[in-house]
Amino acid sequence: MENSDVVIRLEKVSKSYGDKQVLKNIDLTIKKGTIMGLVGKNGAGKTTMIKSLLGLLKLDSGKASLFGEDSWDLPGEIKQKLGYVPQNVNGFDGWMTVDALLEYTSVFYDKWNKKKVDQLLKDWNIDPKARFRSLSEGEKQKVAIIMAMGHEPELYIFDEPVASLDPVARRSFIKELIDLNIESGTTMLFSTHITSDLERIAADVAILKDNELKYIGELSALKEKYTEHMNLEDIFLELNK
Amino acid sequence: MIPKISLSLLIMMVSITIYKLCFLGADISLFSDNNLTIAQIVFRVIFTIFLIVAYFRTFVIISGPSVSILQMLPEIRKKVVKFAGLNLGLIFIWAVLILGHNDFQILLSFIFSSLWMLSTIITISSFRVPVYRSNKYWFLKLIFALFSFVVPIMYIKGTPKHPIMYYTILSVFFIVIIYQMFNFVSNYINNRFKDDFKKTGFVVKINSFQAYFDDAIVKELNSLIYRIKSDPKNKYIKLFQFSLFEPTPTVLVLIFYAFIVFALLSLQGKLGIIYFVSLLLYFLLISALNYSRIYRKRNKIEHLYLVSKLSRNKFELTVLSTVFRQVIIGFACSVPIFTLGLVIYSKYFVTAELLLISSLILSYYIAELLIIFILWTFMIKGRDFDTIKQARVMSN
Repeated sequence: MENSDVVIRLEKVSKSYGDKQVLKNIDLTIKKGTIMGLVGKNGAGKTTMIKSLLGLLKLDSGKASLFGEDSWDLPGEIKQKLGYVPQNVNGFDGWMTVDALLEYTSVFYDKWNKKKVDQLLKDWNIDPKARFRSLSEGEKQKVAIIMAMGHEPELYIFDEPVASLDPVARRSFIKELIDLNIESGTTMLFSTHITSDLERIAADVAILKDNELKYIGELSALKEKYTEHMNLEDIFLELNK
Repeated sequence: MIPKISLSLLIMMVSITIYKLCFLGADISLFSDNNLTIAQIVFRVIFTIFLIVAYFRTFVIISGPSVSILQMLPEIRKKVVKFAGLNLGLIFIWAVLILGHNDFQILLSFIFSSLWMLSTIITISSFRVPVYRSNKYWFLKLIFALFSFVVPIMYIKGTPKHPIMYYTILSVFFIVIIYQMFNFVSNYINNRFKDDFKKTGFVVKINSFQAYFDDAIVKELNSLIYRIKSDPKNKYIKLFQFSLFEPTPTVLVLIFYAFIVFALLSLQGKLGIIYFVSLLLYFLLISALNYSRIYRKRNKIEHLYLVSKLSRNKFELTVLSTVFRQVIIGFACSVPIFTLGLVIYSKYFVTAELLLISSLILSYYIAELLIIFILWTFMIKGRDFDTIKQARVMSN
């Protein structure tokens, strides 16, 4: 029987593109309220793992599920609980103004916190009347994050969401996530190269190397394994030697 | 390993040459209307596709120096232009051999349509290189746009009643096209980019018109959202339609209508129906490419799948219904102009011919729906959305 506390589950997941194996027998369980950081080198399979979870990729073998439902055919109700920020935010319509894009997105959801969305736009200095195509990469990423937050999902999946953000916006974004986690017990899977951000936000960490998860567990426990002067970046470099 | 596109071009080239030499004969042009056969029509279509793809390929060659490693080679842009020119020259020589050098009218129309096509490609996607170095030449752009419609219609109308005016228009059009191409090549070689030119006067007006147009679409979207909130029937189809089909610029709608007028004009003459069918087949090919592009909007399809409250199966069916709906809307928009055309032509045609033309138009739309369904089956149904090849999205 499925544990109702489990939000994300990957069981023996494998995925290849042609001859190239990207994921090999991945097992991962993330419980409700966890903030899990996902680290790995470029091409380690972070995005593939995330897309497999979201049902955007067919698995070669194994099983992926969100809230106990098979990822390949997620029911609408489950998708309503999901907030996803992709790595590439250029899929949205460039001719739309930011407020039109947010209004358009809001129609898809049963609930939409307009007050919060407007506040985030203000905090992050986004002009609601600006056209999406006229925004910088960082601003586009901010809008994508706001779009994912508007319906107040129970699970956030971020695929390198802060890559184009300036340090101020990154801090503000991370603070927002911590608040969300504390107030609502929101679950988060957070893939990034900026390990210092993970140290601020994530309690747990998963490290992908050579198509496999080399470590899954608490960040503090990982640090204990190494000397106390080493930060996550040092540990990551050490693991990839 | 030869790239797929070059291999396809090579196969087309060899097959057309074999057909021309072994079956048509050295003296007869592929576009000669005497004793026209089905094979000749098929090879005309292949020849046209070959030229379009080959011209586009030339521009792929030109885009090469945008790769940073190539920018380091000395005088790379000049070398690329020379290579592209050589490429085009060889295509021209081969095309003249296929068309035959005896019929001046056929050669003239080939040269004009080729130059027009190249100039259009330059104007639409010129890799940040401007065609004109100053905005004061806006009237030349206008002449090019205007004559792009006028000249084909004049050509279809046949022998001119006022030859002096006819040849003057042709000459002006020819000079404008050549001038545009020389300007483009000069700006390309000298690395002059569009961003280097301050936008003033007419361009500012055009941009403000574009902004006005964008605002109108945003208003339309807001009105759609308002309607959906009060009546959510077919909510997803309407929302998907707005996202998958980027708002069509007015100029494209005008081109669409110009094509219909062009198709109806082609009905004149004894070979009218054959021309008409060829044009319909050509439109069908273009729309198949267009609809496959809709299905290749991977980022949008992934986004719409995740935000919609639809199961995978229902989502896929909704994407299909959205594209069907767009065709039906297109059909509804073209019916008045086709009807008007047929009423005018009823003076020249008997009822049986009118019925034939109407059934051809209807068959065209049915074939379009069938193509959409086949593309959907192969590209969307039960597929990994992430492995869809991403199409270039103009509005981004």
